Amino acid sequence: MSAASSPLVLAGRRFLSQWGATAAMLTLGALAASVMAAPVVSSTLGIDLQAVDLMNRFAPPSPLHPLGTDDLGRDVLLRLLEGGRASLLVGLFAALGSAAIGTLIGLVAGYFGGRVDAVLMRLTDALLALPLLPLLIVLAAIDPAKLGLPEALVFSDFAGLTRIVIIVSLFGWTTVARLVRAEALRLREETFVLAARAQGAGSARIMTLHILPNLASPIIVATTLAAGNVILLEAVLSFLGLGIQPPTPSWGNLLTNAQELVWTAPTLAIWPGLLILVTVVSLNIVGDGLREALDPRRATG
Amino acid sequence: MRYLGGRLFQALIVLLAMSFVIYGLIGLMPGDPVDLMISADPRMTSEDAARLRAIYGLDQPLADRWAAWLGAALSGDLGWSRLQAQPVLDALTPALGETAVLMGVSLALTIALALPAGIAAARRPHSALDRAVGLLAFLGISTPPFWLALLLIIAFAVHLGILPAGGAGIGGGVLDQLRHLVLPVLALTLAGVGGYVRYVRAAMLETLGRDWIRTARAKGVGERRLLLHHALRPAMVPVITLIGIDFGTLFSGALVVETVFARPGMGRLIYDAILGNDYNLALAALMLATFVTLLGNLLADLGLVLLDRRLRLGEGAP
Repeated sequence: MSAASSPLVLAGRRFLSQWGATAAMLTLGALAASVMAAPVVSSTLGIDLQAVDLMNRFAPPSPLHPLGTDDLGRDVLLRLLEGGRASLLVGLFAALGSAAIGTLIGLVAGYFGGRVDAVLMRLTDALLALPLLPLLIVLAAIDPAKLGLPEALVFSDFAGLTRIVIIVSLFGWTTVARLVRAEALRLREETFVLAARAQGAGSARIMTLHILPNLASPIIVATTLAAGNVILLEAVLSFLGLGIQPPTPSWGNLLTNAQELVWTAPTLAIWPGLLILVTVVSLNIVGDGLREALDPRRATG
Repeated sequence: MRYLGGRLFQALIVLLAMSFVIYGLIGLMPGDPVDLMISADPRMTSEDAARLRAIYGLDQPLADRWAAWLGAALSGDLGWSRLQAQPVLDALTPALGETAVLMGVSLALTIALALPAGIAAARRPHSALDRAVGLLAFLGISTPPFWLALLLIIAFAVHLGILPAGGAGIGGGVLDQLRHLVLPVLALTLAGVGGYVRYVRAAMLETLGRDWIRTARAKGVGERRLLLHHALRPAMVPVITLIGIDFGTLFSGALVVETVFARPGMGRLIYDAILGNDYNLALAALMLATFVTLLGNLLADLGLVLLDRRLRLGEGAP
């Protein structure tokens, strides 16, 4: 290995040397690419995602419809991919939201320590111990207009997606906060922090300029792991009819439809769940792989 | 005992705080009770509505309304359920019973599966058995619980036709009710067991590496006694902690499972109450869910105190 390799290149090599993590990363890439390509494919083939074709209900797989059609004669594969786009986008943004909240709380708790740390970590523990899903359902049912938001914003499609992203983020940050806090607790004793403080740097400056950049690894790892959880949460909420609303498909609400049809077309229930499983498994493997790769203490060579 | 007292105090604070948060959130649900009256009576004018809001105190500040609700609730008056047309308390009791059975059986089964699997995996780390157990646990954690429930319905109700796809068999005999319980319990157990297996394995692995295990082995203690007596007891401490922390997750899982299998439990009740604007019922049910979860936490703490003598003597938290 050449001496000029940057830490990032080294981490990249360590990541790629784990075949499981590499395969999981490729799987995620392929999934993301196919869900993004779905609108292009449907427009070139001239298939309308929402077009109802009642003469063609529950059609078996054919070259035109590789996975057959659903109860309204819509193409199952296209709806799966379209649903994946909603699920993955919500998952991505909710993971980023969780990362932001978790980093802020973890950083403050770890840097200040003492009573601040105790209060914030108690809060994290309390949140973990609560019955999450009933609370999520209430949050999903509240009327944003009562919070004083303008009507036009409340009833748009965009608002529906934003709402679910916010709700899921509010509960998904605990993993990130824990990992970030542990690392911040360690970093604040480091000599470079002492040096900065000796030079008169304030807490805000030390936290943002000196500690935060060093937290990149735990944040990346925790966010990847949290993304899996967040996608599961979104799926449950959509399944219960409180997340992404039909006719916009998502993996969760496709399963709601599949449950109603479980006696007539049981295969409809297989695919959306399988894709959620593959996504979550891949995210967890990639997260573990990143942890191995980004930990300089494990570095060899 | 000081440890338990502290925990109890903490739980009460959380419960009080949550009652305020939940009260506030319920207030943010669409409409209010007077809106429902208006929709029932088209002749009502806006002056009537304002007068009614004043009579029922809906124009008061949030904190005052919350205090009034809390006072009434503590004296046993939880109000009237709009959807079920009966006092909230009467609607909650049977639902809580249903959910308690589902959660209790599932938790017992989870532990009965996780302990042997975790111990067996920890005995020979990185063996084929350990890898297989690890893989299954990993898959279990990553599977959406409601999908698992659907797969069980497809396999056992649609294809094999040997178990019912939903309902609780109320009105049928005990045997019929048990038949209705099999798939929900299985779904809830499979959804949670993976996490427990990983935890048991990690805890056992840690204790098996301790000095007193080596000493016991050197003394000639049999493998069976070594595992079950010397290693399992200390390893149970983190496992019991997990049961306490995980109680909320178990409740959430029960909610999902009850929805998929159309069982008349707490989960179903909360879901219907929230979507049906049954404010009193939703509020009481959510508070009960929080209370039950915190109670589960406390019971786990009690278990810890019984298990760990240091805690009983008040030498601090583990």
